[in-house]
Amino acid sequence: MSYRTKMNIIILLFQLGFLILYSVIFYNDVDDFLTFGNDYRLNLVVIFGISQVIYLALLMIMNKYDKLDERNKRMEATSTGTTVVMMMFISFFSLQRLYVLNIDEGQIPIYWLWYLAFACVSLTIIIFTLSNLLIPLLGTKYES
Amino acid sequence: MKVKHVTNSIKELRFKNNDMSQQVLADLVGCSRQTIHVLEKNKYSPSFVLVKKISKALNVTVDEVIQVELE
Repeated sequence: MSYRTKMNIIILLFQLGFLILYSVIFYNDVDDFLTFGNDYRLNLVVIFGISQVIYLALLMIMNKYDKLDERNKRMEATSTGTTVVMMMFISFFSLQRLYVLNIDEGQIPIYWLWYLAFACVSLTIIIFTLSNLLIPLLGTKYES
Repeated sequence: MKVKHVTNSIKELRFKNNDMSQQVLADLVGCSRQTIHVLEKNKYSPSFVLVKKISKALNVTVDEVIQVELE
């Protein structure tokens, strides 16, 4: 297993953990989430900040100790394209679902939109990392 | 015009160059060992610049490094 693969797995596990944390917070009553601070939004911003700092630190470590050569750059470009398209679909269908579920009430609860915002950032990193793990398995073969 | 068959002689050329390891070749051309590994297995289509660097590192011509047969 290459160094880059190991680091991608670590990033994936961290982001999955944060996604589960966001889901636990929002699927339970958000008002109960007052471990520190008086506002769940403030707590979430702190968690979000920690998740992003960890992600950036892992990226910096990965790129410092492993060469980002032309093959890696090409695979990352493919992963970026895949991630953008998938996130567009996920955002679209999630918002559609929220609208359909709340159509009778006339408005969408704001905390579900916050959940979508936080979860989408984690999901973007998860999909990007997963693509980075899967694309090398498929290979970038010779064009015909 | 389609690619019919691609072969490369990187592995053989490495062995001819004092049993050069994949890591040494990777360091010489400025890429990762995995890239050399997948190149040898014909699972990656390299840029011309990388092939040129490999040919220089192995003291051979570009044609000796990678052989592309077209239809």
